[in-house]
Amino acid sequence: MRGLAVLLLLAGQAFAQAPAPAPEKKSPFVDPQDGKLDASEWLLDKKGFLPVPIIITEPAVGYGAGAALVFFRESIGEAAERSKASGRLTPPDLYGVVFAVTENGTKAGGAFGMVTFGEQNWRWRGGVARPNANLDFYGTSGSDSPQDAKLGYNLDGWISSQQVMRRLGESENFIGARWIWLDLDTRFDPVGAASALPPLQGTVRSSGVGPLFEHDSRDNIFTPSRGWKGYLEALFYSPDIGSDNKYEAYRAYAFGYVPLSKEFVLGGRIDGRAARGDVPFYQLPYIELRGIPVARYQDENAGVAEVELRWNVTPRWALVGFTGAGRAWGFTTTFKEADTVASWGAGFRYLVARRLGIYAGLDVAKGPEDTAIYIQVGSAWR
Amino acid sequence: MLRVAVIDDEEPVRTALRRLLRSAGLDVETHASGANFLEAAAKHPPDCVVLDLHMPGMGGIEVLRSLRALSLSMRVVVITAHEEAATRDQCLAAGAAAYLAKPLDDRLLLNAISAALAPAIQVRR
Repeated sequence: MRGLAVLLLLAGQAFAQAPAPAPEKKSPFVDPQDGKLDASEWLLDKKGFLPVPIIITEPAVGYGAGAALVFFRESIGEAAERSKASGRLTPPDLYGVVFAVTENGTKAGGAFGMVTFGEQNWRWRGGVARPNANLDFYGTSGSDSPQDAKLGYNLDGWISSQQVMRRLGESENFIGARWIWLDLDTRFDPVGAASALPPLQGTVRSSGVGPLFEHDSRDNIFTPSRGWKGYLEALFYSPDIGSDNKYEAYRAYAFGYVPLSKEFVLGGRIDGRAARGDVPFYQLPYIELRGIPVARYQDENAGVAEVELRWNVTPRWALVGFTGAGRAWGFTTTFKEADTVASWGAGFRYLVARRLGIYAGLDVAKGPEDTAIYIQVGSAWR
Repeated sequence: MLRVAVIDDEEPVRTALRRLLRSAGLDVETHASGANFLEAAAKHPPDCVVLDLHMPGMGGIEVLRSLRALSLSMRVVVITAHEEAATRDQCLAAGAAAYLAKPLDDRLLLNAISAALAPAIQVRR
């Protein structure tokens, strides 16, 4: 949903460039409180179909662009009213279709949805996608793999993720279940003299289900200043439910925010992932940090810690600084033996929707190999 | 489906290669010793073998010679953490199709396997 949030805001800004309304009519993109550019009113009222542009800045696939068509069953304002009446923070219901391409030839299309129902006690989030992705694998030998021995490959097929959660009592805790289904062709790039040989390629079908737990007490789902979100998930892939291979995938993460003063908000994040059994190599856990390409550092286990400080310089503008480190281990190394991979960076934010508390901006992050740029709408952590 | 046997006494190596080669569309069987592999190969020979050189008991060279003695003609890719020119020559003389150093460069491994399986792949397509 991160991309979607980006799209929503970009669409808002694009719409702001439309022909100006009659002089006597107030612009929906000017905040009457301070006269600054602000998309609150437009976002609060918008419902129905919304075309949205996409910008991709992921180093693993290069720069890219795309578009989505999102249908809002109700406006964010109506969802906010509903939340106010119930005292529960709930996102608006939406459905959409999306297509995107990147400079390394990766392309993907799909459909997605997010619905709250049953007196706001139940949530469904789901999506089906058709990716055709060009990626690199950095070695079966984990951190012992030869430097720069990356193996190019293409993944082509279908991916589905369906998740249902139920609120526990009146709390901010949810339990639920998730089902992931993948049907992917893998085709390895031949290199050097072997390019004349027939490429090795195969199809692996994966189907995994399992329980999940989520806690979310953030004060804002876009740019929080207080509260925390935690998530636990265990997925079991088995031939009994249509999987070619038997394996397990585990994930636990948490991130939280503490206001140090009116100007400063400190955030922290930890993320742990593990896989066991005959997991396809492209589903091995990886270090996920700004500045490090997705799936660059993979092994049977991956752990990350990251901190971010936001400085609200003015009521509209903020600066952020962040740093993080992670380790991937398990194949030939223990956690203690594994190399630490670190990244750091800085960025700026603009409060694009004051009444919704949404900031958008840009981060520049430096990792061990790359410097990467990320467009951010809301928090970098989802 | 083309079958590849991986023979290595180190369980993490067997697991990692099984993950990679299965995704490459190959049917993968793994063996922790040369003796176990030879017993299985006599009944159902694979199309290609990835063979560790240094294992307790029967080593890779002995496995290569046994395959020749049993007239089993599958292509063999030798992998070793102790790369030496003399050993390389010995393996190639004993019938190995390729000789690769650990830690493995997966591109070289897949290329070696692809080359070893090329005739079988062409026939099956």
